[in-house]
Amino acid sequence: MIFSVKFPSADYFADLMKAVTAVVEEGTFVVDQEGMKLTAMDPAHISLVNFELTKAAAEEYSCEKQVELTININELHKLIRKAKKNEIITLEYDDEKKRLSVTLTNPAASTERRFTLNTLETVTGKTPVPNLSFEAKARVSAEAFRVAIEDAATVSDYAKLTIAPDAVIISSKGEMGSHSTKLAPGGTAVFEIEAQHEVSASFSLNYLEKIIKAGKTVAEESVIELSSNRPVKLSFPVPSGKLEYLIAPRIE
Amino acid sequence: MKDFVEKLQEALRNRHFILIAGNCRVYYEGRAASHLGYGERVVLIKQDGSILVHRPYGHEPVNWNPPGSRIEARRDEEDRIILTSLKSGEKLVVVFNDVKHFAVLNMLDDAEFEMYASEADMKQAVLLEPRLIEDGFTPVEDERKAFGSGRIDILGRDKNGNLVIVELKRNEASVEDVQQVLGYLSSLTRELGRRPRAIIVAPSISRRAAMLANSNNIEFKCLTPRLCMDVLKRRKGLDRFLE
Repeated sequence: MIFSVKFPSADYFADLMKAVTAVVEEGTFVVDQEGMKLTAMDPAHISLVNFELTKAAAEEYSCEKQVELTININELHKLIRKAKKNEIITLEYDDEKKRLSVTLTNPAASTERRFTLNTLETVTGKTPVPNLSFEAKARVSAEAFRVAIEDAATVSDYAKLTIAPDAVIISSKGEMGSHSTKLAPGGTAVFEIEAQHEVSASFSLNYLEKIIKAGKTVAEESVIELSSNRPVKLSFPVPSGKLEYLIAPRIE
Repeated sequence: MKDFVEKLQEALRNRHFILIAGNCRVYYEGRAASHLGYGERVVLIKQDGSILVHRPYGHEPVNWNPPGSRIEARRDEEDRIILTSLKSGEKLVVVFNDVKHFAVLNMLDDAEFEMYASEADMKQAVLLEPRLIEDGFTPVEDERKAFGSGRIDILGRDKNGNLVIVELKRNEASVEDVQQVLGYLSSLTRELGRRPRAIIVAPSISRRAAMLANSNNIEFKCLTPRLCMDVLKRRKGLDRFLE
């Protein structure tokens, strides 16, 4: 056994995997002594996911050596999406059989469900990550952000994100009409804004919607980092881990 | 058939591309229900778990299930092969009583389906990456009106400050295209009082067009729609932010 990892909450792990599938269906996890990581771009290279779960998130963690594990994350999610709240998930990888085994244990009911998943051949190399700096940052309620994005999608297929010193604005314009949501600090929608001046960029709602929906299931908060006409970084704070996305801006 | 079903099961496990030609009947339940009696058909099972049943005519499959279907094969008491495909409430069952041809392939196809660029895409590519025309080229206006002779694709400036008319063509530039540029040239010369440079940008130029362009001091720059598509693709995604 190359590695064996036990996470206390199977349903939460399932939500994290679902969050990764907002960008890629298949992906390569790098598992080492410190934790598991995955960085991947979607086939069109419009969005990128950067996921990490350190060993601190695990109840038990052992890893003999660094291993790359390419799996169909959609399939993995299918196996574990029915996990109950009180179930524990154990992931084990057998290097010889090239198989990931997934065990869902319910200590209260004394049940154990076991699945295996064949791994895939790793074809792509390391995903390069753009080195970006941002001019503005806002911490917002993931739910408020999701509602705004959904509203934007009713009129258009792209939306403009603006961070001003006093508000976060999500707006969209379509052939039939327009939409704008203003989230201001002082309420439950915006926790913090760091912006010297107003910055904005436009993004495909297709990607925004998928990502905010996924992120919202694992975190209450979403951190938006933005520069004018540059990629946006959306992060969702995950205990002992990382869930970040980049989306390329729309060319105006 | 026993041998065959084992090979088939192995191919399904390995997610290989499978082709089966033979006599079969087909049942389908899902968005509708259907039954197709025995006949000779080709069944294709693709590496993403989609399955298609083709008759010997028609371009569309008579039955199919989308990618991600759970496909299983077994042999019944009467030595028939039963293929069952399940996908979110859709069920497709193919029963073979005779197999004429069977192939398993592990196929690799990473190429992206590319639509070659339109003239509008070529223009967008040049606006995003003006170097495609020449070093130091800066677009000034697109779709600039040339009085009496239409609109100029891109009007720009070269590194020496000269105005440049850029006319984009996705196919071989013809004599008519050169004449069109001559129209822009005379219109702009009249309007501005001096003659701008003019460049026809196309994947190639016909011999007669080249001669006409040459004698009128119109330049030709080779640019393929394919290269423009690559530029657009690169400029749209995250790759352009990679250092």
